[in-house]
Amino acid sequence: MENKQAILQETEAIAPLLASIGKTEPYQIPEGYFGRVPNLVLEKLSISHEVPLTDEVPLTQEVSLTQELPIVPQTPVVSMQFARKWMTYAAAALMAGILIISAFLFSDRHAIKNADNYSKEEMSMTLDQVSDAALSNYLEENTVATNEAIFIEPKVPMLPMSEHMQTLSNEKLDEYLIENSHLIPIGFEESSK
Amino acid sequence: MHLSDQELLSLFSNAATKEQGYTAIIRKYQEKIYWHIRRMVIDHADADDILQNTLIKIWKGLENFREESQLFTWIYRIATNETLSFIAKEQRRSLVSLEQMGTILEEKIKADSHFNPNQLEWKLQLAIQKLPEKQRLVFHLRYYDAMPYEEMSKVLETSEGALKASYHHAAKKIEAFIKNN
Repeated sequence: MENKQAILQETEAIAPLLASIGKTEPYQIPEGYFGRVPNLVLEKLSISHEVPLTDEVPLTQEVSLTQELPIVPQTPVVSMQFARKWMTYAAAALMAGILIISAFLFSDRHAIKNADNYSKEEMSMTLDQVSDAALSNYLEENTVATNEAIFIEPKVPMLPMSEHMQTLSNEKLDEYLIENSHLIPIGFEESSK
Repeated sequence: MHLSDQELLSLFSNAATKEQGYTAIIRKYQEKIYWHIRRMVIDHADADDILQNTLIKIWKGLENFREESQLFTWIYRIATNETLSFIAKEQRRSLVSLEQMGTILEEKIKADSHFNPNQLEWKLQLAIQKLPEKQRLVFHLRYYDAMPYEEMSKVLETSEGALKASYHHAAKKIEAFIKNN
């Protein structure tokens, strides 16, 4: 068996500089490290031998690593799905209701607005197509009629305004003015009377 | 004063003194194993992990230990295997080659708070990292642990002649590195 001296001589023969270097380790280790190692390892070994906490097994019992661990009955799981589903359906129904009502409201308004626009457009387009002569003829033939006459006999042409005024009694005129006093511009109240 | 391997094994084989025997084995060999591991992985935390795993494996395997080989040789073999497995794992994890692993270890040495590039001991550590993994192991066992080739061949499962050649190559390379740096 070789001794340390023989090994040193071998190194000196191959690499004299290397043989002269001290064999002290340049690395540092934590203080008291080797004093702690046995306990650390024993602790690890005891942990790896311990069984998880259960009702059936005492806390300090040790088992071999090959021994089967006791089967712990699983606690039944209570489903919370019913309440959650009900809430989901209620929220979905509410959203659907809001959407349907909104759709009706907005689509109707839009349609009415469009209908007005279309009717105005159609009327103006139709009037554009009518000649001025035809229009003046129409207006001459359909002179202004009193409301009463139009409602009683729509075909009776309306009387000219001067004649129409003469047919009205003073009482009816006063009555009309009192009823429509809000239409008379400010400052004209006296003159109109 | 430590007990002989024979006395330690007989303590361990008795159920009443098993833990006492095991603790005594740890106390006798922990420093040598630690430094054997530390020189290979450089980092203390890594060396600590590997040392503890080695000691746990010793506990588990000691019941089946046949006294054909020396206890000391058997423990060194476990420590060497654990260390090489750790390095291989690190290499796979870091996706680097063995040569790059040497560079990583060099960086670890330079990162040591006590590192002094002008000190021969530190130059020696840097030079060792330039060696291939197997040569590094042979050099450590021969230079620091003064392990005879006969025993080393049992630890590394390599012929004595190959180990002798390996040590010569390693020593020459290190000498050249120290002279040139």
